[in-house]
Amino acid sequence: MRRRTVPLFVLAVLLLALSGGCGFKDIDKRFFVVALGIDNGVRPNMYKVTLRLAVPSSKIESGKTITEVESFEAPTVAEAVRHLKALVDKELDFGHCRVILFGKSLIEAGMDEPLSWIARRRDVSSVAYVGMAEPNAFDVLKLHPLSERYPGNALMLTFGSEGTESSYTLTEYLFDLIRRRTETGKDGYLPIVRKDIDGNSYRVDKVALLDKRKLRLSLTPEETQLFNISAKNFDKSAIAIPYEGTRIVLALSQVRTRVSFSGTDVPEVVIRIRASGFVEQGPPQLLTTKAESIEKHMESEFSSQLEDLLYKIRDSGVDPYGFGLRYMAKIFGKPKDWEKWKADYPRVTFRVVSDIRIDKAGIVK
Amino acid sequence: MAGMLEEVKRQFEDATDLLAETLDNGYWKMDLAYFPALCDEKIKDGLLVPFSYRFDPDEFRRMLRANPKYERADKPDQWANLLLKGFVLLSIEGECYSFKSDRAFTTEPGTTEIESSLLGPQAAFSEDLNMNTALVRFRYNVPTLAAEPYDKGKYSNTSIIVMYDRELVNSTVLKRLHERLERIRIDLLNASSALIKDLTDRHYRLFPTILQTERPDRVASMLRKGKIVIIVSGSRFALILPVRLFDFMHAMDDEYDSYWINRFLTLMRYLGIFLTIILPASYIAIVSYNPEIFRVQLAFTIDGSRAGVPYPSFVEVFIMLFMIEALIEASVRLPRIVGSTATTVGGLILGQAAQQAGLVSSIMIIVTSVVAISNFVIPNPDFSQAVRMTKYPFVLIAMLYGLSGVAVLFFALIVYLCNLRSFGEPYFAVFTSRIKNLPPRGG
Amino acid sequence: MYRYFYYHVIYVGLINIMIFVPWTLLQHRFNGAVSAIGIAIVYGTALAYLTTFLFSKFPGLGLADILKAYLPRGLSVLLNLIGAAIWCLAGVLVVYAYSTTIQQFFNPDMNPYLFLSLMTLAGVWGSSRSTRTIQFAQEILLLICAPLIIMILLKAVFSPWLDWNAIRVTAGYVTNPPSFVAFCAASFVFAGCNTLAVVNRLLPAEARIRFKWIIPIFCTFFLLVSFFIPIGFHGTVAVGEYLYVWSVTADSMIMEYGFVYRVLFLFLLLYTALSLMFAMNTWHTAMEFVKACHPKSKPQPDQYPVGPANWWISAVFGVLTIAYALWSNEERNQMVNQNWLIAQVFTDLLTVLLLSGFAFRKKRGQRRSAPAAAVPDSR
Repeated sequence: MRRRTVPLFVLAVLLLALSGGCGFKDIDKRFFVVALGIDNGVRPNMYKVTLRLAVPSSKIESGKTITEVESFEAPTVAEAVRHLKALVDKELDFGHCRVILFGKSLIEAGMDEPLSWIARRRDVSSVAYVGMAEPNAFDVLKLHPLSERYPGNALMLTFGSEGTESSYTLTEYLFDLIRRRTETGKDGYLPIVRKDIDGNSYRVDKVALLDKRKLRLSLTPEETQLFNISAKNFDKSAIAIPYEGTRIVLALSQVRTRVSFSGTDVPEVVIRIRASGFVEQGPPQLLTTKAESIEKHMESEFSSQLEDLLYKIRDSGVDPYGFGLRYMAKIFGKPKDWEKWKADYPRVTFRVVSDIRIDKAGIVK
Repeated sequence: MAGMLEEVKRQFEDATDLLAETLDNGYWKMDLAYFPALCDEKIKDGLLVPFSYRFDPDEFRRMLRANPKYERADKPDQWANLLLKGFVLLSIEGECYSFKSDRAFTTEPGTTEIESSLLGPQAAFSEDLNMNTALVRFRYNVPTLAAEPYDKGKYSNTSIIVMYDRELVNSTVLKRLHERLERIRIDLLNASSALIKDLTDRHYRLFPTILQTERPDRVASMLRKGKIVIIVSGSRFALILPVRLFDFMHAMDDEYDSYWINRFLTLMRYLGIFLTIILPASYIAIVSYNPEIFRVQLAFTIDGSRAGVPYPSFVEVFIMLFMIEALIEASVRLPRIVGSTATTVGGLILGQAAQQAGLVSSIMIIVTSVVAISNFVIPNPDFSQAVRMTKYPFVLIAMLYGLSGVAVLFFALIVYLCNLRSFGEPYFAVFTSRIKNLPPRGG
Repeated sequence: MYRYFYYHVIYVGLINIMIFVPWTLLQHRFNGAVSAIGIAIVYGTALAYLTTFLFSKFPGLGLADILKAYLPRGLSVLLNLIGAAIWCLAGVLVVYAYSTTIQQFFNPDMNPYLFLSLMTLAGVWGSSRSTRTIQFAQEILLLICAPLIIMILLKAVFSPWLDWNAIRVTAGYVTNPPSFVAFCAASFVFAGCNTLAVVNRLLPAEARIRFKWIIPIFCTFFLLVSFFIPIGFHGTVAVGEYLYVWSVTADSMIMEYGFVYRVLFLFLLLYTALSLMFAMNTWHTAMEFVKACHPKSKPQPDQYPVGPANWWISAVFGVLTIAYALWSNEERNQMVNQNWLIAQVFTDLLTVLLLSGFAFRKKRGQRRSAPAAAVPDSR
């Protein structure tokens, strides 16, 4: 055994000696980037990169978080990030970068380059939340909401399912955005992040629809909720319809959709939605008399609203629902079928068949 | 025979505690030699009374022939050995006999100190060989239990007994054991642990391949599984071989408690091993190499708690590990009176004050206490020491390579454990040598 | 006793990610990969059944011993060396692929050869153990890793972000004629049975390998999962752009309430164990092939302590790995991987043909020398 200890010892010493630059960096020598924002620069062909950095503190209280916002302009995102390293005293660590915002003007021009930088990086996780910042990412990221317990937590809770789950907020992951940008038959969308009017929280209640390169359409909050219900089957949403002078709000507890195609030459998309829920707001004595007629009224109203939305989306030339992909999956299509669909899409008709059931009316009749 | 006394007096030249005299009861002369310190009271009724005032020559001769305690001792080279073992040498009518009268130092079985159980028996081995053998026979009460005596130790002449069940034992292991016992060269055999080093194939094994226990019921259950037990005179611990790693993680309470509690506690023990080995290393790896592994909230907490610490994480880990090892070691050696002070000092002051002085982070205190407590969940003290040592290579690797290095070393550890053989039997193999593979008793 | 055989089948099925099998298949996803998968399932199952059946005719012997017994010495040495080369290269490729992956995601600032040397050392240590030790270690590692693997796979299959339409569209390309490279890649998943070349020494004569239907079920499942799940997560077009396909796919899942948020890290740590297990086994098999070239060697599945020959041969493999890392870059690595996948199809076929020839001759009672069978002393 003595024969073996000497080479082992030499090996161990070698390993220790070689381990000089092996990436050992303590956690308190790193600056965690919690949010990344990319805008168009002031000068043409420049990108403005904004980083929101978390300053660690030993007190964890709401509103006592300290963040530092740094930004820099450069011809490419990579150069900007590199230059930003010279503006801070600790090593930039993108490992916890969970929110990526793109400025509106950037998306209107086309965001291929920044996205390719993000896709190449190994440390930005593919499940980072992406969004569009209005008016631009720098202004939105400079906001410091009062209720944050950890730096950057507010947006993470908004988008994830741990915090608030609102039907006006859509969640989009980075990998899904990248997928939708190249997929045949499905287009991308981004939630729009704005600052609240009094400037102390975020307002995420709209969605922006993109085609393969840039921004095409922004939906209103009501349309966003409809989109959420129909495309994402989001069950914590609500349907509000006018009824005899007042409005009835049905809070949904279960949503299921089924898409089928009919028609011979130009396809007709039939969407069947089955939703059930309970009445949150409505006139008294609602259910005793007219449950059936209310349901029918809701169904027709809802179907027409959704059909309007679908036509509006179709007319702007995008397909965030993925009808094209579904059609190809149904007929096991080949490239020439896809070409036919693409040509037919502006003339496609939609039909919504909804089946709404009122389960309960709350605790009051 | 004057030869016996002379020979004995010559061999034991300066031993003033040796009684070597010629007794004369008027009818016969008897040469007597024994160590009064090593012999007990049975001499009086067994030898001296029949010789002195209840003497009858025929009866005495009959006693010499019929009493099993008397044996012929004709070989002069055995005399010294017999005397030292507590026998009485007597030479009468030209013939030499030995009378067994060795003194037992303890007459009560001990109580368990290291391996206590809640519901099981509390009797433990004592330091007397006969008592221990009796305890084993009491628990494993069948005629197939074989016992082979040996004498080992050049200067201590310790008697040891090898016990096994004749029908269930693995004969290759037994043969290997006999070979190794023949080859042992040891000077002083004072405790069974000294025997372990010579019985294993390499002296510096980290993980124990022979089990030491103080409980007779564990010995009995091991004998049922076909294992071999070695009892050493003068030591409270019996050796059991061959063993598997799972035997070290098996406390006797598993036989006496309810089924679900067993499962839960076994799981906790393995979790304890895992935490002891991996936790300090993963602290270094996560704090210094990959803080993005954990959730973002945890990363910020760790970041905040390390706010005042001036040196890198592995120095912190080494400081705390040293403190906890020193604490554990000191609590073994402290006199009982001072014992509670140590816990107070160690627990409260070192931990809390060190963290407040900014020397260590509070997360490190938690890590250290979890490591220390998990270590003691392991039932067997030898194995627990071995696990205590294994965490240091992991800390070293984490310093160099981070979490991936820890994973690679974990793989290497598992391969190492599977590579060990305890007397030819695999050490760390699941689903092998279950008791149902053994032949059933009585059939 | 034959459960050791199934562990091999399972982990070879799982390690296919590291030999670029999914990457190759995804490159050909519109050019015949799906039909190649279908053919590979049938071919692989048939080959697996045949291999196990043939090996059961020679109980207690490894492939190297059978070759030594039935062929003239020169030919058997040549074939043994070819076998050793193929097996050794497999281990080298997996270790290299894994260390580059880890170096990307875990330790980007480290010298890449450092981690490679660590893995090589661990692989050398593992492969120089005796066959029985390796089987035990493999069993325990798989038992530890299995729940995590199942959890990740189930997470992937039931994730709401998995796009079944994209999967269906790709499956629709089954009508395209199959491509040979994709076929070779897909048949690797079924190649776990070839480890019988060494494990057969541990199987006593009366142990028959039962439940052989496990092989097609598991291997088909792994093959389909490793091909279709990345498509479901990344879409039909974008999936071809990624280099480390499965790492990015694992990154697209989260454990919302778990300790570790991103599944990627768990996945990579799991694959440490699997890659090292694979390297340990392949280098051990290659070492046994090399040892069998010596005329006086006997099969010894349970050697303790292991002889110095084990150390030297394994050390040579370790040096080969580092040399390969110095020579290789990404393109060359891909080329070597593809060629290796093609070569292993041919060697599998050759093995089956040779074994059937020998089995036939054995039935007729002709033999060159009496092969010394290894008898393990206890189960």
